[in-house]
Parts: sequence; structure tokens; C-alpha cells
Amino acid sequence: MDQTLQLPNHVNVIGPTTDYAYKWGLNVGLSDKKALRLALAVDELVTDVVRFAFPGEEGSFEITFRADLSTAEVIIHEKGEPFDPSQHPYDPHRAIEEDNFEGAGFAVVQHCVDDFAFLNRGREGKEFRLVQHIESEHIADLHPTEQPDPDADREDVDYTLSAVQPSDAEDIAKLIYRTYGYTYAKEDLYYPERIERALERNEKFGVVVRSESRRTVGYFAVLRSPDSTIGEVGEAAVDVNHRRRGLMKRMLRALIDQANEQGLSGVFGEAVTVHDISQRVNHHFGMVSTALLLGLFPPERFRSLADDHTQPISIVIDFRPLIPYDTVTAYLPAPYADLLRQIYDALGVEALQRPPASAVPPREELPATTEMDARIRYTYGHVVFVVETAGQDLTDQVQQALDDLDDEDMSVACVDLPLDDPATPTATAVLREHGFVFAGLMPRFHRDRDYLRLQRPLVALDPDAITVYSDLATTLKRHILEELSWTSNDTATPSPSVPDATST
Amino acid sequence: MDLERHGDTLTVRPRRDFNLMAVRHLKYHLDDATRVRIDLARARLVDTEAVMALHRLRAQGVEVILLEPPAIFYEVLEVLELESAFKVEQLVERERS
Repeated sequence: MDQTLQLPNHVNVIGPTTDYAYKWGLNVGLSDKKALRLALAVDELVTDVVRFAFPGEEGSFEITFRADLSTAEVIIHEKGEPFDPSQHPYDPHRAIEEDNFEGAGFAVVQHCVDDFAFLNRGREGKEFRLVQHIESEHIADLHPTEQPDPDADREDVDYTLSAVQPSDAEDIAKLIYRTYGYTYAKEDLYYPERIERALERNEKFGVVVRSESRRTVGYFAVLRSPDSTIGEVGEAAVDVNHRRRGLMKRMLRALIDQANEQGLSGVFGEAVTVHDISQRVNHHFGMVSTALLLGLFPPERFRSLADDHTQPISIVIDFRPLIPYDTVTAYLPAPYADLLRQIYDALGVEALQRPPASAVPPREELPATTEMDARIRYTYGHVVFVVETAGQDLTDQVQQALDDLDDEDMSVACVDLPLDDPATPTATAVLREHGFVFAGLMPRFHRDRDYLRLQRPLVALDPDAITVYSDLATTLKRHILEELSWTSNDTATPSPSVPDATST
Repeated sequence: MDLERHGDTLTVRPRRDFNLMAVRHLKYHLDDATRVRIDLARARLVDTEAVMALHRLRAQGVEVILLEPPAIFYEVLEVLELESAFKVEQLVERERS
């Protein structure tokens, strides 16, 4: 969960903010050294905002602390004077000879953090983003060898299912390592400390299966979404010696029960498209394909697949509502209305109400500024702009952010638009003019609202290497390729409608 | 920030980090001191505002001595390529007098 502080541009906020950044960094799992460096970076940026952003006047700025299991991010957002740090490089000779230390603070910031990004958001001000990667001990370093499994060759093993506890963390990491070697996509599961932290913070829940010898032989978990009541069915393993004994089905039943007890409104899976196995499993358990996200993850994330698949990995979003859909009121953009209707039908929506076109504001009546949150996944090479209010500067803000992220080698940019917002059809039309195409429906993805996701691939992809399973996913793929003017059975070439696409 | 003055020597002990706030306090109390001892035993961080202040004090002819600067101070000097210009051996007092 984000923690946001609103602060005045006064010198006396620098010390407490720096202290908070340090303590927060330690709490989310940074080492003392990395937390200290993060604190120094925060000190430098907050000092800069206090001194220069609002010359001669009172102002305020926001600082947001955001963390997941492997990343700690601090976002400083202010609407002061225009400024671009890249235009003010530090020069040590100028500092000594002319007493001009311009750029010194930013040089220190860049040294102190693993990733630093500056986003110019036009009328919405500027964002400075600081990222530290959270280091943890890999299970292979903690326990390189394990005892043999006494139940391995027995057919009559009794299994016990129980809700997963923080104290199970090390056993889960061992199971993952034993089952998948180094090839499991969810890297956090190799680090007991991260698993324990996520369970303690109630960021995920699940079940473990133990054999008679108390060995952990199964694990299945749901990861809660940070800003909605849905969860990702994203972590599963069954020991190779205990497969074909119905453990996966028993765990999934227990997991769905838990999800219902915990009040989740839906669960989803991110199924890779380098094969259709995960998609088949998801559909077996009643999930519906709602989106095809191109190039969302780097191939290195899937080590077992990387040898054969060198392009960024595309993902199918499969969703199952746990609280049934009833009536949905959605402003469907005309070019995607049929597709969205098909998806809503598959999700069991009883009544889809489309307000009249007259309710949709024209471009000139959109608010002047866009309110949105950029969710940048530096290690995965993608960014999702979650729009709260679409304004006339939407594409300017998006394009400026992509320009600012040019050095980060992004593979794809996505924009999430709330379907209950009358401005969404207008915003969609504007984004389509700037190379964005359909990705799909993200059901209940942010604050339990349905979002239309648009995407713009920034690299070329081979469509034939994207395998989809369900009829709906096939329809999505066909539509998206047509919209991009990418042809199957051929290596893709970005079309003129994707002006900034670059070759891999 | 704790302060002591003995003749021309001003000794300051920031209670927290050596940052913009501490620099402003230091300048406020500097008066005509020609020697400044800055005890950084309680400072976790020394930022670029502090580094700039040190440079400017020395440029004004004030003798500056640092006691127990945190490790990150040396890192900041290295990033800013100022180690030799700052003559760290002279700047930092190795043992308390």
C-alpha cells in the first residue's frame, strides 16, 4: 500500500522526511547501507524542492513511499517551476573553480539508488522516482542440499492441507527450488525472507500440503492486488514425487474457499503465451480470457524458456469473478464495443448498460489536466499509466513520460482507463491516434472498477511466438494484430501506427 | 545543534544529519570565527549542501576540521570527485584532541 505525505516547502521538513525514508527503507527490507543511501537521495531531492521549486513563495509537494517484495520506490511529486535535471550536469572543475555546484545533488542521487527516473508531467508538475532493489538470501545459498524424501515412492501417503503461515516460508522456498530449479517465474519465491514478509503483511494467502513425514510437498497462493479486492492466483508448486495425486485440485478448492472467506471479488492469472499450458489450467478452473498484454515481461524472467524465446513475453489475463457480476454500466469506446461485450458476456454479466453517446464529452470539454499514476516496473521493462481523470494533456503526459523513460528500455506502455468514466471513449480515440491499441478488459483491477487497457508495444514482436488457447484469447489476438497491422506467419514489423516502436 | 566557542574557534555538534538546516545554523553562529570544528559523531548523513558549505568556508579562509564524519561523507566526496581538492587528510581530524 502506498504511503503519501503532503509537505510544505520548508527547510524543517528535510530532516524528518529523510529520517522517515531511512526507517521506511529498513522496514520494507532494505539493508542499512541501502536504506541510508535512499535517505540521502531523498534528502537531496527534498532539499532541491524546498530551495528551488517555489522561489519566493509558499508551496507544497507530495512524497509517496511504495514497496513490493523486491523493490522500494520513493516518488517525489511537485508542481513548482519547470526544471529538467538532465540539462544541469555536474562538473567538478566548475564546482571548485567557480563555486558552482549545479547538478551535484543529482549526481549523488544517481549514485545512491539502483534506478532514478525523472518524469515531466507537464501541467501536472514533475516526478522524481527513486528505486532501491531489496536484497535477500537465495534459498540455494541457505540450504544447498536437502534430505531424501521418505514418502517419495509410496502410493498410500496421507496428506494434510493447512493455511500457509509465515513460518512456512523456508519450506516453500525449498519446495520451489526442488521442483523448478532456477526456472520458476516468480523470483520472490526463492527468498524465504520475502515470502515471510508478504505473509506477515497479509499480501498473500494460500495453502500448503504436507506429507506424513511433515515434508512440504505442495503450495498454492493468491497474491492480493494492492489497490483492489481481487487477487492473482500466481504461485503454485507440487513436488515431483507427489504429482498425479489430486493435490493441485484439492489446493485450488481450498484456495477458492479462502478467497471467498477473505471477501475477494475475483481472482486472475497471468498466463504466459510461449505455450498454452497455463491458459488451459486457468480455463479448467473457470477463468475467462479478458486481455492479451504484449511484451509485458522480459524473457530472462522465465529462465527455462529464455533459450528458445528471446523476445519479451506476452501474457493472457484470465479472470474469474468470485462475486458475480450483476448490472454493469460502461462507456464502451465504439471500436472495441463488440469485443468488450463478448468479454462481459463470458464473465456472466447479466445486463450491460451503455449510456447514450451524448453523455460522452468531446475533446474540448475534457478537463485541462490528466490525473494519473505511472506504475513503472523497471526490472520488467513496462509501465502502466492508471488514469483517474483523463484530460486534454493525456497524450502529452504519456509521451513525455515515455521520453523521460527512454533510457530504461521499456518494451511496452499501457494505459488503464476506467470504463465507468464518460471520458473514456474520448480518451481512447486520442490514444489511438498516438499508436495505442486494444489490450483488453482488466476486471475490477483498480479500486474494484473495470478498466479498459490500451497498449503500445515499443519493440517489435513475432506474433507467431504468441500462443493463445481460448476462443476469446484467439479473438483478442486477431484483433490486436490487425490493429497493429502486424501479420502472423511472418516476423512482425511495427506499423506506421506505432511511431516510436524500435527494433529489438 | 550544540555550539561552543573558545576564542576564534567555533565547535559545532549537529544533533542529526549535516544538511541544509545544519548548514544554516552553522552560518548563523559563525560570526568572526576563523576556525570551525564540526563534530559529526551523531550525523548519519552529510549531503551536498554540507559539502558546498565546507568548500565555501574554506574559500573564505576559515580553517575547517571535521570529527568523525560518517562513511557516506567520503562516498559523496568520491562521487563529486572532490577528494583531492578537499585535502581530506587535513580536513578530518583522525583522533579527538
